[in-house]
Amino acid sequence: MENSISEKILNKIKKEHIMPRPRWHYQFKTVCLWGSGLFALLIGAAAFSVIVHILLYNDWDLYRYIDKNIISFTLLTLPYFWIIFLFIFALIIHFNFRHTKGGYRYPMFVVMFSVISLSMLLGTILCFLGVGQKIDYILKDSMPIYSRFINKRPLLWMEPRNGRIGGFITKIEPEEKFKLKDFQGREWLVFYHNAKIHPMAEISINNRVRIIGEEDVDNEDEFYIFNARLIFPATHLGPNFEKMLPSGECFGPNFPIKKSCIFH
Amino acid sequence: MSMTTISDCEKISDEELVGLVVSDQAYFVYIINRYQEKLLRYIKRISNVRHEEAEDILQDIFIKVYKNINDFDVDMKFSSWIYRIAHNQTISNYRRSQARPQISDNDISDLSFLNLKSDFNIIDDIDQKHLKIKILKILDLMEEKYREVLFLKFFEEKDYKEISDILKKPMGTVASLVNRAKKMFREKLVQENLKLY
Repeated sequence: MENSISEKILNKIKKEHIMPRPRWHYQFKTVCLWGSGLFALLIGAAAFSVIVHILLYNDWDLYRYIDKNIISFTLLTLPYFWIIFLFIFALIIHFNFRHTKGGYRYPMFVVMFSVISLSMLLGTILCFLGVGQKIDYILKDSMPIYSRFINKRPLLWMEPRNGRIGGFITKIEPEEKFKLKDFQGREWLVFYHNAKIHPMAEISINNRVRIIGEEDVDNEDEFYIFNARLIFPATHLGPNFEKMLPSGECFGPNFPIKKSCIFH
Repeated sequence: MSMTTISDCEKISDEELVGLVVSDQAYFVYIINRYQEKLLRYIKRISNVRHEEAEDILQDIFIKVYKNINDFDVDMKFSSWIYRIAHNQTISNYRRSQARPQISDNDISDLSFLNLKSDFNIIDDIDQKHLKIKILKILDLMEEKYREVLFLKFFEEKDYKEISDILKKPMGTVASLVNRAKKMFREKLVQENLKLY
């Protein structure tokens, strides 16, 4: 048996001209594995930078006007999409790592914990470099679905019936009033003589604000009217929020926008 | 073949032999000679294919070893690496054939059998051959992941690190699998009315 098996094998190797795969083949595979792993790590870190950005500017100062308590508000506004996205990329990195030469020696929870921790560390740095904000704004501008389903914060400031509107100031009117263009492009006349104004909020043209108050539902004018109780700054809600609407139907070249044009 | 003599080749380590194979294919015969019996026995233990089929699998294994010789990592024992290839090739072969492997008592040496017997403190008040058959029946009933670690530990006498390298699992997972496998095996021994010390 000894001779016949080794003979058969050696003959087969000679006959079929079987050659060992060259070393560079394995080196290339290793480079690809580590390269794609690092790329996935960067994507995970970018995702975490968006998570940090969203959580930093999550209307914590006004949560009681949005939801019942801090816990339900947190559950409502957590960036689930980005958390799942981060987790998926952590799994990809784990898969890559497991296929490296010694990667299988480490338990999954150790790898996942290390990967997520590293993503969080890098992501935090990226957030403070402005990457998270940039990604959030770019996606808001280019994908209407993003604001509808992924980062719904701007939508929270399009609920006048629930006492919340947000937008930028277009004109200052006498007797403590100003005109506001909201995140849907509707124009409001805001009365603020009874409002408390946050020290960081400035009532001046082009400034963005968040307003807590009541809509004047009995108003029959062509303008929407809102009575402000609280005015807060809103610079973190993105520079080009007009593009967030799913369709351009509510816009027109002429203002004021008609009351019948309602965003759904 | 270069200046290294036949007797030198028989004395040098597997890892050094691999280095020679990379430069000269003719040295591969020494690797084949060192491992063919062990691997043939291992193939039959975990798959119970006929001898001819086992030899075919063995050939495929050595061809694979030769093709991938440059992938051998010196941080690992060569025996673990070749066993890993053997394990994967055999498993993939019997999964393809969809045959449930059944173990034959011919493929278990007395020494391996004694290892298992002493580890589980089995009192051998019955005929050895019958005891072997019962033990093999129990092994046959176990899930693949438990059976394979028991085989590697007791029949191939691999330590945890080697099993970890062969199965590509963390050492902690291997230890946990071995403990659970031993526990299940002990329970089944009792069910089969085999007495323990």
